[in-house]
Amino acid sequence: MGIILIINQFVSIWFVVLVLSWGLLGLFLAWRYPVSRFWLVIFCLICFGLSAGLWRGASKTNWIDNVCVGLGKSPSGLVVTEPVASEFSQRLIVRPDNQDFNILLFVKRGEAWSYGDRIKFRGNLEVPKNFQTDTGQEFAYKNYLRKDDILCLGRGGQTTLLSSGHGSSIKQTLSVIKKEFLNIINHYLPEPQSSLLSGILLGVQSSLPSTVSEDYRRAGLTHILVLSGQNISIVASFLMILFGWSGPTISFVIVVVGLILFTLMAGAGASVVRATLMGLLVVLARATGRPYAGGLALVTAGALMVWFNPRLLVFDLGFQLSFLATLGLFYGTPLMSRGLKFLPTNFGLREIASISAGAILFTSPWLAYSFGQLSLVALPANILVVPTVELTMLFGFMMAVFGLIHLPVAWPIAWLTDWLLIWNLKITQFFAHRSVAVMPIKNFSLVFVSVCYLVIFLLVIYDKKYPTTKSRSAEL
Amino acid sequence: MNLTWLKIKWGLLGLMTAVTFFVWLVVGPSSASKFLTVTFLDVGQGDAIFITTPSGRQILFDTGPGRAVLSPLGQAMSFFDHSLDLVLFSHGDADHVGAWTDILTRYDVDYLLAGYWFNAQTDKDNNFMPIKAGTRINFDHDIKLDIIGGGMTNSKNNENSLVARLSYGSTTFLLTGDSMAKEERVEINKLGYYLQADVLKVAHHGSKTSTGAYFLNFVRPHYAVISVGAKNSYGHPTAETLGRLKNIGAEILRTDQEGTIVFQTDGKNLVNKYSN
Repeated sequence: MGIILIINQFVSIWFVVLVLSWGLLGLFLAWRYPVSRFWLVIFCLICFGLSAGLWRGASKTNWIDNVCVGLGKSPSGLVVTEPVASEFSQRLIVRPDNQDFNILLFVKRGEAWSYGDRIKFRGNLEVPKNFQTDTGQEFAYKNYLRKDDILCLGRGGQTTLLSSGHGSSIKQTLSVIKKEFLNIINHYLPEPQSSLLSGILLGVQSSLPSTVSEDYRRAGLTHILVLSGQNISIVASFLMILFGWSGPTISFVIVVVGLILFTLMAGAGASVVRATLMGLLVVLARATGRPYAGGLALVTAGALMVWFNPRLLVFDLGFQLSFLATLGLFYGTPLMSRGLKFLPTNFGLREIASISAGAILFTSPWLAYSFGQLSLVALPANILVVPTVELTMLFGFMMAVFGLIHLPVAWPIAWLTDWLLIWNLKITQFFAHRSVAVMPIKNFSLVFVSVCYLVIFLLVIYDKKYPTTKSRSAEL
Repeated sequence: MNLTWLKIKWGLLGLMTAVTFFVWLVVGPSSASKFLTVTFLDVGQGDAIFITTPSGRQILFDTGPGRAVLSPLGQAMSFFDHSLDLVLFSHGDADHVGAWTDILTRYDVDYLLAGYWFNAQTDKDNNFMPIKAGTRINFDHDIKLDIIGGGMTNSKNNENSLVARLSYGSTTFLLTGDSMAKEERVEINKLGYYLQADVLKVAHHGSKTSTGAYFLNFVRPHYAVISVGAKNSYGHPTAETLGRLKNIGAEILRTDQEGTIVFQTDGKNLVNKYSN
């Protein structure tokens, strides 16, 4: 019943069947092979997350199509997130007065809007429409926007500022800091390096030229462009190194507070919250040396997020991929590490390769289903690019801090950062332009996806039951 | 003790080597060359022309529609260089001035030059100077930019677009903005064969309403540069204009095909360098 309210009918039935069958399978295995209660817990979490999400979804406004017309010709409202600039326009998410949904406004680039502004929009509001992507797949734009509670679009028209400073003061301060950081990045680095660094460092939704973003997709490196769990875990590691002297408890508190502030600064969107949760999990798993406990924590985090926003699960590809990649990090890496034994351990090569391979293994079926294509160069591209991200973040951050206090030493650091970013861009470009870079996969249905994941699942179970090496936890 | 001293000495030597290297890196690229470089930046559908003189003066003529200008401009300039001497706007259409806020936030711009229309667009603290036909700007010895058309009214539209003639020694570039056939006739009447140019920036991205055959007879360009976006919705450049340029014998270079297009001249010889 409630399902139909929040997700479109076709997806919902298949999707719920899929999730439920997974849960049942888990339950069955837990009952049949009493190795642990792990799967039982997973099952409970999925059920809890989904049902709670559905309950929340059902209690929301029953949305109808003429809701946009209902707002009238000149609604006023509050800008609820940081504006996002793209190549030719910028996007504002606005909560109209006395409503429980948002509208998305496309305004001119160069106009200075910020979080917490109260604005008035004069113009036509329309219902978003789905469209065809370049690969011929239908993009469910309407549902994609719904995950952020966006029901109406306003293009053109006139936007006027009524007053400003209505947001929360912490978020406002952090957004000022973020803007300052962005200005410094833009001051020291040329394009497209500055856009790339803004994405890596601050999670700024990319204003990279579309050709460059396409390259990243073809090379299986899209996760570089956004703030991912990897980046957050790097930030967490930096904080741990910086404050490690203060003892385990205090440094842990500092890391958590630091990450919360960082999350807020990056806009605290669903993607950033998800990245923070995943990043924290990776740090925890590393610190405790128990990768499998990380898996359980991951599912908990996922269930929690779905509870807050059930639409994430179905419509937010970023959430799905990030979840799968982290799952792959925990379960795929040990598996792959044994398969990649022929690689030397120098420079952490085997570790990097197996982490990348684990994440790729877990995300590939879903990528094939969502995009209708699969990157064949993802593994070498990831191995060459991912290890440099940590250094890029460190140098980029140092550049920003020195630039903030106008120290000339920012220049040599900027120069080094620039080369790291150029490496990132060039490697991606190189792999994306190979003729074998992507394999188109037509009609990859959900049944195939299920089969793929079943195979992966059984592999992991088998591997866990009959490990061929003793040192498993040391590999993460 | 001895060992520590040795380490410090070597450390200092290493640091000084790095600093020296870095200083040379900063100073090196800005040293003077004897060429005037005119770069037609690939900004998609729009115009942006970057000019560097032998003594290192840098001029940006139009900014293109948006952020797309920042990549090719960054490549054309040294990494450590974040200032422009002049930014000129031919007229007020978005595909020529769209990126001006991006440019102003990223670069220190000494002067902004445009027609009177720009007065209404800007606050007073940037150094705006209105210009119109008849203005001459001396960049360097023997390098000058003459505004030969446009700027006569307050309009920001195509018919009031500035037209500039950039010359160095015996080489000339005609930078036409989005000027129209009517304006071309006025220029012919006033200037005649003074319009002759080695490189013509084809007006209005190759629209058929500009670049008349009569006008081309006076300009007689060796190269015709069309700054245009691939598969743009306006159908630029039109077959008519391309035909007229072929008839006059000009070599046509398009930013949608070649990417960024670079010319270098020492005042006598003109070289076209493909950057892609």
